[in-house]
Amino acid sequence: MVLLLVFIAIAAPWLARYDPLKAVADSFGDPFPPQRPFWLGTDELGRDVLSRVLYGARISLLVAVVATSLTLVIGVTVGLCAGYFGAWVDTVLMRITDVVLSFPALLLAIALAALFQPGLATIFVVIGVVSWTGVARTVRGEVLSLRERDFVAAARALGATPLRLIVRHILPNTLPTILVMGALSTSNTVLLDAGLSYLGLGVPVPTPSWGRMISDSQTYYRIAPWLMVFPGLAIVYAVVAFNFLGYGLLAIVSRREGRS
Amino acid sequence: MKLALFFILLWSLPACTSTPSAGNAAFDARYLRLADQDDIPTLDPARGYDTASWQFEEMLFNTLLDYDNDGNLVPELATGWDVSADQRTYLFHLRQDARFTNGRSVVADDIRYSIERVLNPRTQSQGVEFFRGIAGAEDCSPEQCHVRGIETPDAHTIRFTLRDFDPLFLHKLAMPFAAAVPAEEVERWGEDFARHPVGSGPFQLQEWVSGQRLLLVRNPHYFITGVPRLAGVQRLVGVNEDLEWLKYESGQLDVAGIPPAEFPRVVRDPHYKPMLRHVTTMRTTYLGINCQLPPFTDRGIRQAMNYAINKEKLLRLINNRGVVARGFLPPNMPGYNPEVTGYDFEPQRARQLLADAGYENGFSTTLWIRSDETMLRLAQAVQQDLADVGVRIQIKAIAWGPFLEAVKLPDLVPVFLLGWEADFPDPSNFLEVLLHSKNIGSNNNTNYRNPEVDALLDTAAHTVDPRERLQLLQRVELLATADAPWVFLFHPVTYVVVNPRVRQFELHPLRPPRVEGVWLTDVPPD
Repeated sequence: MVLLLVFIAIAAPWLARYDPLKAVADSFGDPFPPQRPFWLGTDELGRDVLSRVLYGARISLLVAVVATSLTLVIGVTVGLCAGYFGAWVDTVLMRITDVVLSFPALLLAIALAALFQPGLATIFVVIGVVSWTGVARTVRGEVLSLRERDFVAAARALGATPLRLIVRHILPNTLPTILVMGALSTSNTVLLDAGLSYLGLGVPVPTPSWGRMISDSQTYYRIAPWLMVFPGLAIVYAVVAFNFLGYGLLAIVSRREGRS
Repeated sequence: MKLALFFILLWSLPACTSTPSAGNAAFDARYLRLADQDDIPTLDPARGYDTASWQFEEMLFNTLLDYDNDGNLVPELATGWDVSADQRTYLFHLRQDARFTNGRSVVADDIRYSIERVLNPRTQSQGVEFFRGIAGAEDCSPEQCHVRGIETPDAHTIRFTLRDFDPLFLHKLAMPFAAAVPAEEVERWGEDFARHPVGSGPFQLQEWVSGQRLLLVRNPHYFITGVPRLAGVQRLVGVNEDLEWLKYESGQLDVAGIPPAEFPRVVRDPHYKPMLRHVTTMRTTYLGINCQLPPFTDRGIRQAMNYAINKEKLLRLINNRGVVARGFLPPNMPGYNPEVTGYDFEPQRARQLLADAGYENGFSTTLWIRSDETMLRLAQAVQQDLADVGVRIQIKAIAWGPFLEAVKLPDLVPVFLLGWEADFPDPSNFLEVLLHSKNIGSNNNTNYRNPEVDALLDTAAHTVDPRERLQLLQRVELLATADAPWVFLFHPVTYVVVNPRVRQFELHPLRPPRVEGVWLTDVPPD
């Protein structure tokens, strides 16, 4: 499912029959129902909904990948440091985590997004900054148990520096968990991105994004439901796809752990 | 006067913003319930120059003269007036029973103080240009501003002496800029007078919570007995077009604009027929181009923008509620010149003009708009058209108050989407106010400067013969249209729906809707 999404995002220019930014229908001024050659209809600005949904996959996927990577980088770093060093480092980092966690993610994201110029970079940073906490906590938990294991003690006895210990010995062993967390948090990222775009804080118009398409179509929900339904379905598909990927990875990881 | 566009009047709903601690349930059916996306910029009559501010200033304050429902001048604080034979001296007699809501009588000195306050450079009023023609007005300095041409022989008589003949002087006295304010309250509150306005009008301010709600209640001592009939007017902020419509449909709101998606249904449905009101005001919606910012210093580029945009298409986005603009003046304005043909939609010609100016590959710029769904839709249509000729625009949507402040700055905003509505039926109210270089920094937001236009406007201002004067102004329009400081878009028609419980609510051709005579069928008179 995720592969299909990736394929659509990459191949959007070839799959889409029309320019997603241009008025291609004669019905400019009013939305037009799904009909050949516009399979999913057109919006009030005469743009082809199918082309916009296809191109919207690019933004959603880009945000999903970049923002999730950022989430993982922050989360894993914090988690590793807190877990390995313990003591006051752990206390400070975990209290920070608690503080960030105590804000509703969407509320914090709205506040941050409103502060900066709207744009892709802002979205990456905002999502990264609000959603790293879960990863940090999980990784810390893993590290806490790993650092007491024999192979870590052995490496330490051989004189390995903390950096080497973390990077060469602990990090590789947390990777499976990180992968699963990554896939699962990607679906959250997709939702958060859609939410922010819906609130007008995402990529600026006219770049097609699913959340923005839904909010634009609100006025027309009574006379042109297709404007809302198709981008909505696209979001559902993306979220379900990344969730399946996450659970699939989880199953593989636990099977391997079961064997070892 | 400036304004957002058709739907600017009235929007509603407090919704989630209302707090129980305020003890104020969001909607109170005893009042006329209005709402809007944005808060009003000000309630200080020397400061406000937009439809939202004016609508409420007119409820709080009085002027010497006012308009009736057909747009004719009628006395308000005045009981009558005499004009000298050379039409340069106006003598007004004031009514004796008008009182400010602090209890003091309104006297001639209050009128004088109010106009001198507008003229004082320290006030930074956009209204200053309307009273510069009074003898001695030019001597006003921030330290002292006693205008020779305003005399008060007794407490209820005021005499204005003008430097030159001014056919529009009476109209200018009907603008809220000339409203009577009590000096003691202005001096007491200073800058904060806008938040604590004291006037003599039919209503007084009860509560104004920034960004949330405004409540005006009846002035029980108003000088016309039985007016106003309403207990008050409530206006809620933060309600967008769609929400406003839903609130209207559920009966929580008394007046609402009609979103484009609903409009075709509303005009067809007989259910709405008795609720529907519309008015053609003298209004032009345009894209203002900052003539001081490159590349717009080049006239060819500005003309290219005009050729590149399909105005008919824009009108389709608002259900054809309006007509295409060919120049500055709306068709119902005296002096409207059908020979001003403006710019047709000719993208090829736009591309040619851009290439001639050395921009074969186009350029990037920013379009500022008021944050609102319909404006955003129009802006996106403009964006599509301009992209076709290579001009890439970014859309920046902000709230009404900050937007009006931003466009006044000389070099911040390259292109903006705005409307202008006439304050009185005369072309100078468009051409002089918006195009004369002396108004750069106040109302000439495009920073347009053409010495020939300035000279013609100055001559017109002193021309007594009405026909000759209109001809001069028509030449101004032709010259300025060729210079293209605007992209001329359309002249909109305003449509609203009014709850059947509201009686006597009419849209006004020159002013925001007046509510003094309005009453509600389900609220008993007290």
